[in-house]
Amino acid sequence: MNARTHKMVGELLTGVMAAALIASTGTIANAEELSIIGHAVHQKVSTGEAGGNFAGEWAEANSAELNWLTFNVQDIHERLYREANLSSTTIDVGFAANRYFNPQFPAMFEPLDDYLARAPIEDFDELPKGMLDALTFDGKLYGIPFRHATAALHINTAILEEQGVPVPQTFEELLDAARKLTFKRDDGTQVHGLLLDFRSPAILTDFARAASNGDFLTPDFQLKANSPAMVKAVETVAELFNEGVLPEAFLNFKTEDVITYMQQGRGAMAISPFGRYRNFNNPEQSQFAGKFEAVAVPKSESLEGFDVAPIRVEFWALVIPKNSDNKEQAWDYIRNAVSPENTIRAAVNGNGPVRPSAYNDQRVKDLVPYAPAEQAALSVARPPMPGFSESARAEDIFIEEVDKLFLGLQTAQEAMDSAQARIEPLLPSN
Amino acid sequence: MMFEDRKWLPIILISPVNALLALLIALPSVYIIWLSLNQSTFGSETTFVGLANYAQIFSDPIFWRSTINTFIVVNVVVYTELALALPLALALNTDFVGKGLVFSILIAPYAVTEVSAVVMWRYLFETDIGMFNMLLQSFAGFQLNWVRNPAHGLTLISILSIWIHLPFTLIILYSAISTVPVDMKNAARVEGATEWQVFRTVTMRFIMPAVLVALMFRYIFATRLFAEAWLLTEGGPARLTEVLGIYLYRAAFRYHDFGAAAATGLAMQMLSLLVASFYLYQLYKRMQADG
Amino acid sequence: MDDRYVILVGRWVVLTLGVFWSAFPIFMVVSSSFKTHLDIFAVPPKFIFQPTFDNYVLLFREWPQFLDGLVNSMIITVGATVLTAITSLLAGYAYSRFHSRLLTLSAFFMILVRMLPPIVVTIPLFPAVNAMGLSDTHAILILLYAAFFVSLATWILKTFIDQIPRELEEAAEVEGSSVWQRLVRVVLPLSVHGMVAACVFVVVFAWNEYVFALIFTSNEAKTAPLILAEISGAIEGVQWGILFAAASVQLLPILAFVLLVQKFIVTGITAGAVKG
Repeated sequence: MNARTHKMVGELLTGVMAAALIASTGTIANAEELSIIGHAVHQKVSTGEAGGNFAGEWAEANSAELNWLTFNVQDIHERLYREANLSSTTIDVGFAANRYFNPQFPAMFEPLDDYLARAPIEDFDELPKGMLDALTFDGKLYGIPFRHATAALHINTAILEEQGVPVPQTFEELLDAARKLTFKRDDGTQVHGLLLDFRSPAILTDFARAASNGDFLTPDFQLKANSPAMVKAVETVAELFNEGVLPEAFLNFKTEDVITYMQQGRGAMAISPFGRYRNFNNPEQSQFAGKFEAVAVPKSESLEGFDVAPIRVEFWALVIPKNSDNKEQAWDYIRNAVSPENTIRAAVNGNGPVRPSAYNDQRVKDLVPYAPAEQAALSVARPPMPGFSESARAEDIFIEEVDKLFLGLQTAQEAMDSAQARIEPLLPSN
Repeated sequence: MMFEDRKWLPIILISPVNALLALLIALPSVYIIWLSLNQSTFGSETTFVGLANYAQIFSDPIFWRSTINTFIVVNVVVYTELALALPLALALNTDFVGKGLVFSILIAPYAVTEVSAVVMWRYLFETDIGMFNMLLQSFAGFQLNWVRNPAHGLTLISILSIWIHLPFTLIILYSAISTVPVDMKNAARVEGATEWQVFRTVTMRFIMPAVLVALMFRYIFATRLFAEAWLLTEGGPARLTEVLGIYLYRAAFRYHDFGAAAATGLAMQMLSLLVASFYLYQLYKRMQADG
Repeated sequence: MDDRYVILVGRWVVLTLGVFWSAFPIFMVVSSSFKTHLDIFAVPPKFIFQPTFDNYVLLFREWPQFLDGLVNSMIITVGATVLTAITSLLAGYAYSRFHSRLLTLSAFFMILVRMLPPIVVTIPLFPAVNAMGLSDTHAILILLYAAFFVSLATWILKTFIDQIPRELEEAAEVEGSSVWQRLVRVVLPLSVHGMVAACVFVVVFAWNEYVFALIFTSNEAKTAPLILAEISGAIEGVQWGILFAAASVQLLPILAFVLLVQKFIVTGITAGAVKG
């Protein structure tokens, strides 16, 4: 809904309702208050203890009061977009995940090029270009990357040693190892060789990327669902599913399930964000704490020009709603939050730093044993697909088609041909 | 009628309730009807498209599958709940030590946060190793393979829905049964009626209006079945276990396709009306008879 | 004699099965709140374990806002319940005692509007509520929750008031009491069963409601279910023990409330005997 309709409806309903409603104690935005909407984790890494509360320090220095509004991932965007469509909002800074970016950003958020020219971000050029591209609409920049999650190959070294399987060095070896690591323990427990987070295009595209640098949807909106690379990718995943390498429950997987399976030793390897390393190795939660390693996902023998697979990176960016009345301060908050020093401090608080140089810092190295592997992966990783207004619908169609493939109702080629035909009309025309 | 000299009294009495409904639900609904004729999403102009949203959802096979799934689940759930709640309510209608506790436990599934309950049910019904599935295997020789088999998926959604909402029907029936005058039942017993006859001629007749209200509202709520289905299967695999509540959620919260969401919402209202129409008519007849 | 024996056995079989069916998954949730992360999803389930209170300690240390959420939920639940109870009693009484075409029409209007799924209603309400400055207040959720439950509550109260003999009221009227006095002294005590049922529904709904709370609150009026959703939506791995601890804390006040009000139903039985 656009702002004008909102306003019209608002006024219409207001007129009728106001008379009947009791006077409210509604909060009216305080001039010194800066409201930030995001996930609890964003608040934690910005105000944490280990690396310091740089958000709080900024607030003190600027005599501002930070008002954190935290929600679930889906709910953050629901609320942020609704607020950004009002005639005015109390939200000044928002966190948005790349999955939710779309070409409506110019109507909802402030273009940042002018702010950047007036008050630059220190070492701006270091920010990954792929992420900035994903935040650029009609040639203007609408957000600043803050946090990333890049996929890794997690390995339960105890199971690999027990089964005599070496750490895979190529993607082919990875598939081979996944099959060898699928077995039943003496007590009847099934061990699955490889786990994936979900059945979404973002995750299955990793298989096409690792094998041949393939894509599902390119940044310029070329749909490659039924390209040989994608067909091969979903076919491979379907084979793993049918062979029991992936558990049957994969049809109903939620992210948490990968964590539970790995912690219980029911999965030998998983392709999942690097950050999961902490969950897998958490002695209070995991039966195999200390046994997990995280490495960059290996590439295929035949893929030239890469050291490791160019898999997916998902990331969060900071945006400013167009209708905020505190935009200058919001920008000042953002440029402070993404400065090189604060990027490191956030990383020490547990954030995935978007600046590659942060991995060279000793404080980060001490805390993150997989820092070199993540740095290598991040240097070639790119967002799984560009955001567009119908991307959620496209994702649902893709999942529906691969589900039918997993259930044996169609072949990989049929699934991807159908996905191609159904998703094509949803793409932005350009 | 003794009160009717005060013509304005009933209007005054019903006005707070109707004001709440009119301002917070009915007035926005008018806008929703208009919205269903428009294309609308975040950050773009709302444009009039006539009946295109209806054409879009009515030509979507998943909408119809969701409608059929919803229709089946709703009927299974509502009548099973009635069949289970009635004996429970009758069994509760006596005094015994710890009755309050028993009643509270029976109500608990209704009050527990759905997220945590569904996580537990998923765990208990995990394929191969879930405790309930293993019990099922040893007693009945099969498992609920709800992850893969859509019929089993809908079965588990129904079981879960019954588990959560049985207390709704139970509360109404129990309250109604406890108002049945004891002397009316005793009078029937003195006349030689068996307990079954007492139940049919006295209890049942007395609680019938409450049963009708319970069933009708349960039908309305059940048509929007969402949380248990979404948390359990998300409509999968391949959207074969999708219900209308999920279909609407996708349109409104995932696709931000507000026109289609409005059209779906109105279609669901019509379906509610359809499934509840029998009970609405019964209530209407009773009201006419009273007047 | 046989009849009574069958009924006695039947009663206990039904109640035992009912309690087991309701309680087992709840027991799993609550017992998991006293388990370590490793034990919660152990295969097979662990029924004997060393209980730990760590999850509760962690819940209030890592999610201090849960406590604020509970307070907000409490205010909103009480407000919505009182508002629903009062308005529905008046309306239920009117629909039961008076008859006209307008009343019949409005009684069915109440059901019809209630058939619209609440999710779609939020679309136009969000900008309107913001324009009035009612966003993030207790008042807006109280009004909304009441609006969504007055239909049910009114209809329940109407059916229960229908059962009250009019002679009782006429007697009071002869003594010169006003309609308001009769409502409080005659109608309310005799329809207490319906009132309890209606209140339980509003309490449970308001206490656990998610979508409206998500859209209409930010901080000041943020309710407990939103915090629960955040705990279960952690992107760095859900701490199941904390989630189950929060769910158990969340369940407790409702159980206490049901335990408390079900006494009214027992007293109601005696009251019911009077009017027969």
